[in-house]
Amino acid sequence: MNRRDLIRHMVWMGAGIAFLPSCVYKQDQLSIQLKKIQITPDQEKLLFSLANAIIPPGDSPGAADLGAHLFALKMVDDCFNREEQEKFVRGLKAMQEYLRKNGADVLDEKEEEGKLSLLKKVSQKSDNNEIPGFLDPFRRLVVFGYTQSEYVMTKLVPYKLIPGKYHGCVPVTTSTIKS
Amino acid sequence: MGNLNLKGVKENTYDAIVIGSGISGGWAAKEFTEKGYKTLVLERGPDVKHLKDYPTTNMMPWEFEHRGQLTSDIIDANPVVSKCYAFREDAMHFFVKDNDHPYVQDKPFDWIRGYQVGGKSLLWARQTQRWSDYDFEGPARDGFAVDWPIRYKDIAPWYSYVEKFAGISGNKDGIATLPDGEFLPPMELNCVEQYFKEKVASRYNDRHIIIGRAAHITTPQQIHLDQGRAQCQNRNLCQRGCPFGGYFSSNSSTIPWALKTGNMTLQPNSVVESIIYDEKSNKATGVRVIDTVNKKATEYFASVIFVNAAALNTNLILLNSTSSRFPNGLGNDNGLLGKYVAFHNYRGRVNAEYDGFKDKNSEGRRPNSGYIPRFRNVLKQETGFLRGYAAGFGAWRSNQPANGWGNELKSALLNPEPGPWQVNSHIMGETIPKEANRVSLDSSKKDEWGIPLMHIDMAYDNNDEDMLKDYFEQVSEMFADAGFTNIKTQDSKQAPGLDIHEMGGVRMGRDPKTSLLNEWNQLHQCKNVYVTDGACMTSTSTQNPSLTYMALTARAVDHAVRTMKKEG
Repeated sequence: MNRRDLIRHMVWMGAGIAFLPSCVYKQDQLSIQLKKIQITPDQEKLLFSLANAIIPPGDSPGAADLGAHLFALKMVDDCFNREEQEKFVRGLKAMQEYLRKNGADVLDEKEEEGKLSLLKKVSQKSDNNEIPGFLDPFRRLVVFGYTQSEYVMTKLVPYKLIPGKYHGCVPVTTSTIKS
Repeated sequence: MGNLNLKGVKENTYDAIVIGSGISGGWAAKEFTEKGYKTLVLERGPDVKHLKDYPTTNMMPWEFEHRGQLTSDIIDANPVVSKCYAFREDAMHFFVKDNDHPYVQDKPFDWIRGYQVGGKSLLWARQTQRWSDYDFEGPARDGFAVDWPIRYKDIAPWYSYVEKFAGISGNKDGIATLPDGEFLPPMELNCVEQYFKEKVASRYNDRHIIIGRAAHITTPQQIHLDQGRAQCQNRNLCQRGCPFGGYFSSNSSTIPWALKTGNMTLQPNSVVESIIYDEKSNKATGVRVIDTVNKKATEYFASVIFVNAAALNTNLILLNSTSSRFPNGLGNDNGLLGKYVAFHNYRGRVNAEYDGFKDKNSEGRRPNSGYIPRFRNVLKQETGFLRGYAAGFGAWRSNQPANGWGNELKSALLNPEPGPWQVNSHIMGETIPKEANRVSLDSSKKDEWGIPLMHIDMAYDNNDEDMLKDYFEQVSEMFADAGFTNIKTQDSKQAPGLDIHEMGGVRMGRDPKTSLLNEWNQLHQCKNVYVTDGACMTSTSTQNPSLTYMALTARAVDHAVRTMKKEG
């Protein structure tokens, strides 16, 4: 294990603690309880690989390492209406079929470039492509879950619960980002 | 009142009864108790104690299960209150849920309510602009409603009185339409707001952009420290209840103040069914209260009764207070009770972008925005519609959208670049009270406490439509003039009610034949009953109304106390 991988590994472990209860993988069982939509353990594995392709691990954890794929499922289950949920599940199945045709169940972790070109390809909107009906909201929710995760909001883009002062006109710096 | 237990009567007798603990009821409680009067404050909802009962106030964004968003089950079960901008995961526990308290919409009306100690004062937008005589003289000049029985000089000292205690931040702008008050230091306009202010000032003599006067403690004074309140920290999470007491609410300010005197009995879970009228003395003697939990009815008695149940519910209580003397509701000889209700038109927005100040941004979360006082039809009638509108104005930068996938996306999310400045305005239009806009009681349907359901029958009229059109034209022109681009107008078509500025139905006036309340907010026909919440409003003007309710309440308690002393 080189230094970079070691740091990466340690960061994940730190990040993982907060998500431990929901991230423990059990055989043939989902990591979260869903009330309305039906998701299989295989699909969950696919979502994990997708979320980490959308926001990959590196110096800091990827989106799936922070549980953003599970957060996305929870939001679809609790906040989407039935029509949106059906579209999501249909698109997810289409994504699964597409990958299976190419002999895979999940997005392979090794080929970064291949993953991205695949994502770009399947997210193209067309009349007979159902994948965007899943991938668009999933990407949005993964981004939402990632940026609003405790890890990102404490370690990477700190959120100030108590800003104290308001400054109406200051030079643009990286610290003026809205969180 | 058959077999009265005299001991019970004595135990249940107070100097004053205040119905409601929201923004105006809290003030009535404070004023009476401070002057030494034993006061019973009745609140239909549960208690909400400052600090202790703000369950979400210190929660981090990631601690909310849905990061602030509403679930589809909640939206489906609450089609009305879900429309309110503040009804979100962090504050939904302070709003009335649709099914818990049904009402009848004769025309679409989104009735947004907060049933708890503090009422909607926990949830309000905290804008506190004074009225001027351009507002009080509106009905008389333009021939609608009835003449207000008061003028600016009558209320000005009371504005000052409540402002000092509540803590109002603002700039002394010296604008005749929006009199200056007792201000704490103003909040700051940002670069683009300040630029727009200067642009507008260079072109118009009569149009102004100012920072909103807002009930936030920007620099605490001794009176605020005495209340246990501290400086506003720009969290902009006010709707959760503020751990600093940085904004004014009954919960952080008037209610604990009244409690400290030892003269207040605060009784939550107590819905007032009616006010009891005694024909012999021609006075109200007390109120009939139903415990919302065990449904038992109890009567309480006092020399004076303040009705501060929130505008429409105050109408409901009076309409339901029938006797052989007042078969149509307390004080309702002229049949006008519940009529001439009105609201503010909040339908219009104008959005645009600004290409300048690319190297500048704002920092922090200001719980306030810019404000454009009314400039239409101020000195004389100049348009095809009556009256005018104020407007909110604000500018901000959002982050550039994070595009792409993989490391490109991750890097964009972790190192966001600010996008162009966005500017936005929204209308706050005066609506004209009309007899056809009214509230009434259902003849058969009752709530679970046996109180008739409220009918609400309110709608926009052509004056509102014409005013909205003018707002779009004028603000678009002002925006274009300032070099703003991509200007878009938007009519939300939202129903009346969502403005949460419903007013009237028990209007003030000089003549008992055409109004319900006199110049001291007493019922003309039953002088020991005062109405000082939104129900008393003769016209609506354009300002956010809460400050005026506070001032009218303090003024009315002063009058009630002087009257009680005179009468011994």
